Amino acid sequence: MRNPLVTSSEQLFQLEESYKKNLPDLLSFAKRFVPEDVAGDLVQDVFLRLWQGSRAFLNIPEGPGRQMYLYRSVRNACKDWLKHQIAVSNHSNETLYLLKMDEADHNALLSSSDFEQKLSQVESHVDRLPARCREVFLMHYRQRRPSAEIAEYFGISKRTVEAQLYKALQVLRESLSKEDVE
Amino acid sequence: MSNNMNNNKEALFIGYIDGTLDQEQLRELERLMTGDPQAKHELLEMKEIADCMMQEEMTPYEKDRRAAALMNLVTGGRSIAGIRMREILRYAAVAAAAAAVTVFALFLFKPAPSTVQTAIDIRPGGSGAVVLPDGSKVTLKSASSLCYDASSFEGKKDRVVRLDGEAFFNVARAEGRKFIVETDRVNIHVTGTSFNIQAFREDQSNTLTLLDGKVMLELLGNSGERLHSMELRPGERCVFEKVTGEVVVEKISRGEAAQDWNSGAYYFRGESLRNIVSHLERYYDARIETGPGLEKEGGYTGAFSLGDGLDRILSLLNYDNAFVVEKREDGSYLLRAK
Repeated sequence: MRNPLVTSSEQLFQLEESYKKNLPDLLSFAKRFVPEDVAGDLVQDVFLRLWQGSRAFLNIPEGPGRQMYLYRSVRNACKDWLKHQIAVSNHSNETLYLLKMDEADHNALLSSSDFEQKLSQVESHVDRLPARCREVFLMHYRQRRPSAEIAEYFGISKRTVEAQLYKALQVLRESLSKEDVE
Repeated sequence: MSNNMNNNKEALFIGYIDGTLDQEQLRELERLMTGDPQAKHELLEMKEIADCMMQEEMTPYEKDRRAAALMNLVTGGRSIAGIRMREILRYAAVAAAAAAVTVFALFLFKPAPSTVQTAIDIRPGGSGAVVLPDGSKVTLKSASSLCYDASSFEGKKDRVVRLDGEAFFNVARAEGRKFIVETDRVNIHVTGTSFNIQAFREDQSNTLTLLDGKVMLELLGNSGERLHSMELRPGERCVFEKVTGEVVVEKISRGEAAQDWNSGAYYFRGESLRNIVSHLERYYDARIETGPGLEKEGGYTGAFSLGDGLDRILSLLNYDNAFVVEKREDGSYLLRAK
């Protein structure tokens, strides 16, 4: 007979391991829909609630299955937060929160491997962008350099940088949706 | 006009994706999309592509910091069995710091004076590791404490440590000298072996898991009288019910036994400062330069929990003021001889 006390502390270590393993991806995920400081709290809350609940997620082996469960839970937590903000925001930030809700609903990437797959799709198309357009795109989204800095670097206007970024994203979007149809 | 409108759409889309739009611009974006239902769909797809490019990494330090915060929340209540808030035992510690800090960090550069008790306390949610004077390694889990008398590691005596909580032991072989772990109700006699023991004083049962080697258990009654002795073989787990005195021994899988107890803890023995520093650089994502003349004969020996801050670890590493720690404006460190 296993002692329940022992099981409880083993589960505690499993919780810690799972949190450390999935935290970076879940945090990046939540930051897409909610502000950065809120994202950390929401991911923590999700694990706390899972622990206080049935702890059934510990029975799902670590892998895509468990990830999907965690991603869904985090997405729902983000949506709940947004709903609450919309209810209390007095219309001031409503536009943004409603769009973020749309984003959360639209999102179809629910595990780290989904992200990796999407990323490799994107990367296979980046090479086909026109040279300047590709450079601006990678400087902004990979190296995180602000538009103003890129504008200065190339001696072009900030508006032109934005136009290049827009073009890059549009071209990538179109080639990806074509790929999906095929 | 149409061109102007298009320019605006580009700026608004990119601004939304980068999160830089103000209230007025957001409303403008909303107006733009009400007249163009396809536009919102495009925006969401473009945002997703940008998000994929911007997946962030996290430093191990940040990860540990957040994990410790969660563990503190989870174990904060007293209802969680096995790991809970307790009074911290206080002993005259070797380093004043060991008594003052709840996250363990202790260095053993020189043999401690022989009459001093050394105590290591781990706060709930933390973990830590210690290298004992004989080279044995102990990894302590949340809310556990270990104490020993340094004199028992001298000469030909048996080595004795006392544990309240949960720990993983990797015991160094020493010819003819036993290693004894005392807990409130179980004493473990060891020759050279790895095992995990969970023996919280307030728990109803104690659990011992043996990875390899051989141990002899002495199970004690309420008032310390010997109930019985037994031997444990590798891959066996023993659960001792303290109230009924019942003992259950079960076979377990190797994988189950070899959980990664050492995560988050770092110990080193006779290591050069340069090696220690490069380990710290990796872990904390920091830059630390070392000047000449800092290496010691015989190297540095010690252990700490990586959940501690870098500043604190550097000051502990410099317990004897052998060098000066300079923090530069760009956040990097310079260690130089005095």
